[in-house]
Amino acid sequence: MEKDYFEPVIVGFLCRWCAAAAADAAGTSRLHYPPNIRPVRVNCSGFIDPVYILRALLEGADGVFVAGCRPGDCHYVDGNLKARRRIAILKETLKTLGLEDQRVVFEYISTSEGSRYAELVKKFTEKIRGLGPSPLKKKFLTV
Amino acid sequence: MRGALLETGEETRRTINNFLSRLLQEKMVDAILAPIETSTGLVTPGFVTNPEKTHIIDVLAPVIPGVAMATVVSQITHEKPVEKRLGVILKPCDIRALVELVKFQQVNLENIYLIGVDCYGTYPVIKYKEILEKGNLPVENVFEALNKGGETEFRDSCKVCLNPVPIYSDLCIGYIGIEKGKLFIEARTEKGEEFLRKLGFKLLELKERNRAVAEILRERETKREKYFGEAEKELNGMEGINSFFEDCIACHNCMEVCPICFCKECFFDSDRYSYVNQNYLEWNPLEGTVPMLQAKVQFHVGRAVHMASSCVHCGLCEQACPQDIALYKLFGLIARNIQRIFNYTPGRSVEEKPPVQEFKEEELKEFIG
Repeated sequence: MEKDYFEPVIVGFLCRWCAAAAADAAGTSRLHYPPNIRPVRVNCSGFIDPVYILRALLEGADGVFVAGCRPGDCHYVDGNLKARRRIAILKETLKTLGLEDQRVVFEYISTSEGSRYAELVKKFTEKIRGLGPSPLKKKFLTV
Repeated sequence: MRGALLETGEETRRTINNFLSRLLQEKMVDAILAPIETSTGLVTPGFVTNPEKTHIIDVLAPVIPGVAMATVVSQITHEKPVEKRLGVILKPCDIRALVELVKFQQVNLENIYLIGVDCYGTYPVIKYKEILEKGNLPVENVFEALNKGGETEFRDSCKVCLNPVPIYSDLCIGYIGIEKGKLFIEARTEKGEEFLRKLGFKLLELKERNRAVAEILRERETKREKYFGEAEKELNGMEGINSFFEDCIACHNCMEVCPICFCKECFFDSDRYSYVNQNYLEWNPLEGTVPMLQAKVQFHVGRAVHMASSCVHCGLCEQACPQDIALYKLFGLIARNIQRIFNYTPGRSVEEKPPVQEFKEEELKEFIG
């Protein structure tokens, strides 16, 4: 493998009621999007503890893509709005510590938006490719 | 609000204790939960029910006894409210922690009367003992620092504390902005005023106190900005964080003493958090060295994400650290920035909901996408 070769690892947390269905729709309509994303289906974006995202980043992900329902569409009434606050807290923490908070995104994707899902994943992958490997991977103190 | 001015002379501690004795004698409270003196001269939270035994109470002791008083109140009330009327003596940061715990349903304030105490600053335990060994009274040092404006030996979180006066309490024992040899017991609620009236005090209003407090706050705002500015520089990027936690032994003491970390079972004590042991040798082969206890960054930053929105800036995390890591730098900085986005001050009022418990339909646009 070439030394400079960088293929981003992206973890996606997708709400099963919207974004995961959109990912399915993107697949069934044969849309092309980068295979870098490893989708994890969760019951609601409000289920995601920010610590899971932090852990993904520390364990080698270069970016984390979180997708939930559009405001007002949440299957559990307001899980996505709670998620929004949690993501904001996580992103602010990362920003405070100079840890590139743009590696975490939160997007609203509704069930029918397969093409939008493909587009957003593509955009995000390109962004992470531009940013390079995540500094959070360096969780070791180099002595 | 109005309050009573007490003449203390040199006997500040005895005057306060006499006042507490009277609360017990007149059956206004059945017990008082207060910092009581131990044989080493330090203080620890304890109950006093006998009005003749109040002499062991040391309300103004400028030291935080290991655990926060708010944690103690949570321990005795989180299952059901106390049956007897309990007067609790708290420092301003304790009160703010208590208010936060009320919001998280960890404290029930029924039958509890809050007696706040002004706190210009507290010493680290070691420093406090040193002062005692020299034969001085730490609280006299605080009075002196208050008059002269010097406060160099307080804990870091106290040096930049913006709440020297309790925000939310029934009664408040105040010495900031009061002339020497006097104390001001302020009634903040109707209940508090009733207490003072029953004890036969003449109630009056003191305006100059607010001015003195504003003066202190102005001074501390600049110090705070400077302190956090330096912290921001130090804790920048993974290298800064890694070297900051280099000496951490992952004892989780900071979590144990944190008044806001109330969970009975912590995520970071669970299996989900631990690494598989074999992984250690597989990691980082290029560098050739793998320091152990790798989950430190995840623990500290993860804990910050969990509690920082309600952090009351008490600095107990720093005091509890056996390795002397200046933890308040990290937690205080993250907390300040997070609380700024939500325009939230922990402990301001019981009605206000903490950021993680509520949301607005339209907000936080800059964090989306």
